[in-house]
Amino acid sequence: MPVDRPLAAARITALAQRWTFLRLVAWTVAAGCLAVASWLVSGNLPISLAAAVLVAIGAWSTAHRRPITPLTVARHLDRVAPELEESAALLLEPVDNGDPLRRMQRRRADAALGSMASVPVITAPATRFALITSFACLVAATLFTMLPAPAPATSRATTPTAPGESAAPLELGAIIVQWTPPSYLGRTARTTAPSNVTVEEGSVVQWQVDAPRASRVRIVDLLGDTLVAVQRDGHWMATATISNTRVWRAEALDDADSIVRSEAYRLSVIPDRPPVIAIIAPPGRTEMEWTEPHRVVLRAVVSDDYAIGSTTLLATVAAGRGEGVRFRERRLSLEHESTTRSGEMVMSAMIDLDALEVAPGDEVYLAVEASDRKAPAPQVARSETVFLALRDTLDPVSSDFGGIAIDIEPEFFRSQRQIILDTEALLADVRAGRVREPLPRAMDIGYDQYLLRVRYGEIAGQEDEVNGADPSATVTEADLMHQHDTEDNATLLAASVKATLQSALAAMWEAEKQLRTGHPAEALPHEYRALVSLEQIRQAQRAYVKRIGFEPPAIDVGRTRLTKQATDVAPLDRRPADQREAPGDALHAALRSIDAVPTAAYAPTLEAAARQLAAQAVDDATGQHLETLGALRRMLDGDRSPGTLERIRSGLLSALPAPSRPIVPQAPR
Amino acid sequence: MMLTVLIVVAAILAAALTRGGLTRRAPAAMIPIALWALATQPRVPWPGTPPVELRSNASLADIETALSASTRGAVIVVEGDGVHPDFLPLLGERTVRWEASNRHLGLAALTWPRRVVVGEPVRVSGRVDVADSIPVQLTSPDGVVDSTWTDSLFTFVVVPRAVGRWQMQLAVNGETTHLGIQVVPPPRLRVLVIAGRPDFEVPALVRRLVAQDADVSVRTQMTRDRRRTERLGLTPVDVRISGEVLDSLDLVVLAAGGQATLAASEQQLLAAAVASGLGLLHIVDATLTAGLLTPFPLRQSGAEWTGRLVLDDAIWPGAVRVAPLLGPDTLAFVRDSAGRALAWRTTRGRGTIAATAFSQAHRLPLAGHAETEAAWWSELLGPVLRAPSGRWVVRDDALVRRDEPLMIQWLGNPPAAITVQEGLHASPSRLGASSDTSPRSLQVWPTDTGWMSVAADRDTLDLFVSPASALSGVSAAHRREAMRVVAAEPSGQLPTGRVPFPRLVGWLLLVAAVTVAWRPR
Repeated sequence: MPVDRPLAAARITALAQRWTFLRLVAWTVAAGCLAVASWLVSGNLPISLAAAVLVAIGAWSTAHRRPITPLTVARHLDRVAPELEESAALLLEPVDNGDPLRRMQRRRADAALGSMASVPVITAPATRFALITSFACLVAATLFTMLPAPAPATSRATTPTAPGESAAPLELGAIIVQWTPPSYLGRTARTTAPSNVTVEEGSVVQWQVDAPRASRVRIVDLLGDTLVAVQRDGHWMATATISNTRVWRAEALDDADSIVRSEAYRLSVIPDRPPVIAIIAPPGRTEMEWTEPHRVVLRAVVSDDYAIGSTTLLATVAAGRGEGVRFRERRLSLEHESTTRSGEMVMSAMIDLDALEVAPGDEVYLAVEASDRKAPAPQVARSETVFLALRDTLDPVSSDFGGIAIDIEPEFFRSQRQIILDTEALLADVRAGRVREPLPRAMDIGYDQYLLRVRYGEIAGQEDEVNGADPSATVTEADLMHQHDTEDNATLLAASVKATLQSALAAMWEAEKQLRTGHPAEALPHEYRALVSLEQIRQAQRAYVKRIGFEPPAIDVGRTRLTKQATDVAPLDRRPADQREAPGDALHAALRSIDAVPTAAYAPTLEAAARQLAAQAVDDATGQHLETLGALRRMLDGDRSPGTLERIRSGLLSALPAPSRPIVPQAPR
Repeated sequence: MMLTVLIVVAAILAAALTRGGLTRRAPAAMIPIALWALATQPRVPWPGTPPVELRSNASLADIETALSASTRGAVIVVEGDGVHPDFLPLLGERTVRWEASNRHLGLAALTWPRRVVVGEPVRVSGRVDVADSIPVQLTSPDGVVDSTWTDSLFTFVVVPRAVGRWQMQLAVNGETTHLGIQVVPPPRLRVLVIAGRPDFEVPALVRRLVAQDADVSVRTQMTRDRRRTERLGLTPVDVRISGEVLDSLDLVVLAAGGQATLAASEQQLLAAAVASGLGLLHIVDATLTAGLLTPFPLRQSGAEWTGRLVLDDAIWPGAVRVAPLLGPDTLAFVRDSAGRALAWRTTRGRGTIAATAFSQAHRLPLAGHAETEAAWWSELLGPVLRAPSGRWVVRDDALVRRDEPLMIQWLGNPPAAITVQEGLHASPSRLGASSDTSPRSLQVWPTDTGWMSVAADRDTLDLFVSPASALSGVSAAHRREAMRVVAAEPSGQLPTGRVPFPRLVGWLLLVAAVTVAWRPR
């Protein structure tokens, strides 16, 4: 019996609705499979929901692009049912629509559709793909969860074997170290496994420890400090600002005070060092003639481990003589000349001495100051000081005096130069014939020389000879004699200064003798000799001033040899041998104990050795002591395997201080 | 030669004087000749006797079995590298032929001290017998690794850091051997220092001694009638010189004119104590003239040079201003880097007297040479100290292997009891017989590998026993050396001399021959 046309159309429409529902079910199953698979793998609900939403978006997109309509079903029937003769679409048309041929064909299609027991379901490739993929993901996730859980890669927990412990032992899971360098370095935060962490000085270090069954977690510095971790987002977190190298380990405790420790790790700190400055020109001390160009180029190499903040040239002018020495300090700028391959900055400055208002005899002290960018306070470094000395018109003689201050009135020193000028004027007058009898003027100059000599004699501790002296009085032999007094020993002058002053006095004496006997020409060399000696004393005074306010020049090795601090000489320890503490005692004791019969009594000994090793591990860049620490910890936890014992023995031996060479009786000869 | 002439003459006389024709004269003449031939039987095997072969490194049982199974006169053929030197006497007077092996031995010699004081440098020296250079590596228990390539000699120096058993690994061309050293604490010394005036060198010496837990007393003459005494240590030394005090000391140091402060009686006591074993050291700062306590004078002269102690010449350019008049028993035992002698010593009785003209050691640490200062005092004082009484001594080249005899010596009075312990097994033992002057020996026969100890009254010696197969090259070299002595000829045979013929026997033979010849019929 042929199918009624509205009935056939209704059947096709029903098929379209049912298949749409089936596709919805298929997509829902796919979303469920993917969500379950995601949850199995990640254990995270949002991720699972996201996966489901992803599938839903796919379903919506498919439904939107390829909806299942009656026409779609009719086309599907045309493909899968040849007996419909490609005429299923005619069944959807109105009954009275079309020509007779169409009606006839519609009836044939009605009959064919009515004879079909079942119709193959329409399947879309996207739906099939979603189903298969999600199901495969589910199977894979299920297999993944059935695999044995891997051990935490970042920490090897050690569990004590306390009797009567519960079935779920305390565990120490993954440990993550994150550190944030100081902001002035401009570096980003980094995260790593705990082994061999090297951080910048001042970094904020955060430890993240997974210990789900722990009630307390702490980060223990093996040198004594302990950092208590707080629980946040399911992890134990501890934070500290690190400024020096540490050796640490994580410890987790439960309510029963059972404890699980991690391995010991070294947290190395890269210190931020102050800038390093080296002046490469001019040399340490430069003496310049006044006639030379008054321009000096200073060139310095400045380097820092991170970055240079600022550089300044300090120029200090020392002017004046005697106690009238004055200092003027100027801060000059340096120019960046170039940068070497190793990152060092070459800075230079053209120093105009005239701008510094120097005068003959002045000295200029130059030093470079540089700072880095360390926060909160930058580190400032200062170079060694280089000296520029402008020669006086009277060529000063370099001095060997070692920094002695003398209390001398400046006018005393100026008088000797006046005596020379007077003598030279007298000689000029004699040569020019303006003076026929030079003796009276020479006697006057000699008296001035006498007064000056007496004044210096007071400084040197000689007797006062001025009492009632009359310049016109006859010179007696006693007046020309040296005073071999010892009162000069009462002065506070150094021997070298005193000797030079005595030399000046002797020269003055000879000059005075020649002047008072009418021989000014013979007196002139002695006057100069006295002046040179006084100049030397002035230079010594200048040296004293320098040493108070500025860095001295390089140490004279020849004068200081064998006088350094005796760091290699240990003081005599008068205590009996059994009361002395030798370095490495704890290590020696541990060495003896590990060879002993297994017993728990060695625990304090090993703990003491571990503390000493931890102190040494801070400076041990090789990490060897850390390995020994780990082996010690394993032994304390009950591991007495030969490998562990051998590792401990070797590590303790290498950590022992080198013994001093003993005095030992030799074999009989 | 004379004996042969005598025998021939006897035979002629017997033949000439025998009556009864040739039948009686010939036997009469042959009797002494035959006896002579028998008495001087050459060591040659009887024709047709098969040789006895001994394989290389045959055991004691192998040797005894082979000898008992062989006939007298059979040649002993030793193959390969020879038998253990201690087994060679078993061969007696057998003819030995050595068919030497010319294979390369690898590690052929190895010497290292079996007992040192902690901090004392250990010198491990050896020789390899190889065709080409091979790597040699020494690994210490503290992880320090030292290595070299060599085709002949090698030397490593290590410093044990802790008291106990120090077990090193020597790898020669990949073959590893364990070397054991017993590290003992430094001995507690008792030293008396006598100084004629305060001096910088004395505190430096005292500091070094006290750091080693020594008992030290210093007697310094401050003025003519005043002395300053300083006593350091657990059981300080009495500064009054007496025979009893001196017998308790290991060393007396005369520093900074200290000899001049000694009374004549004190000098005699000191000389007597030196004769009984005390060590005496002069630290002189002027020419040392001969006297009771200075058997050798020192004056400026030349000397022979060999480098030993590395010292900085710039520190004391005038240090070597004296040199010894070297006597037959005087030895320059400390030298500087240029080989110049810095200290001399001689023996007096059982003790040692030494002198040095270098008194600037206290400057060494100030100049950054603390190690050199320690080496100086160790080299200077070590040979002078009183030798300890009663201790074990093992040769540096001794092979301590399982199932192999080892001879160790005891210096001093025989101990009351000796215990040899291997693992948990202890067994008593006793020293072999010896004259009073020579050391007594003890033969131990390790039966297990690892550490063993030989304990006497006051001394316990720890020895590391290697497996029997260890150091096979060294063992082979020892056997070769011994075999070269036994088989001195290139053919590998023992000296084949004849047995000396006693004169009395010859005379008796002559009398017997004449008696037979003139026997009345």
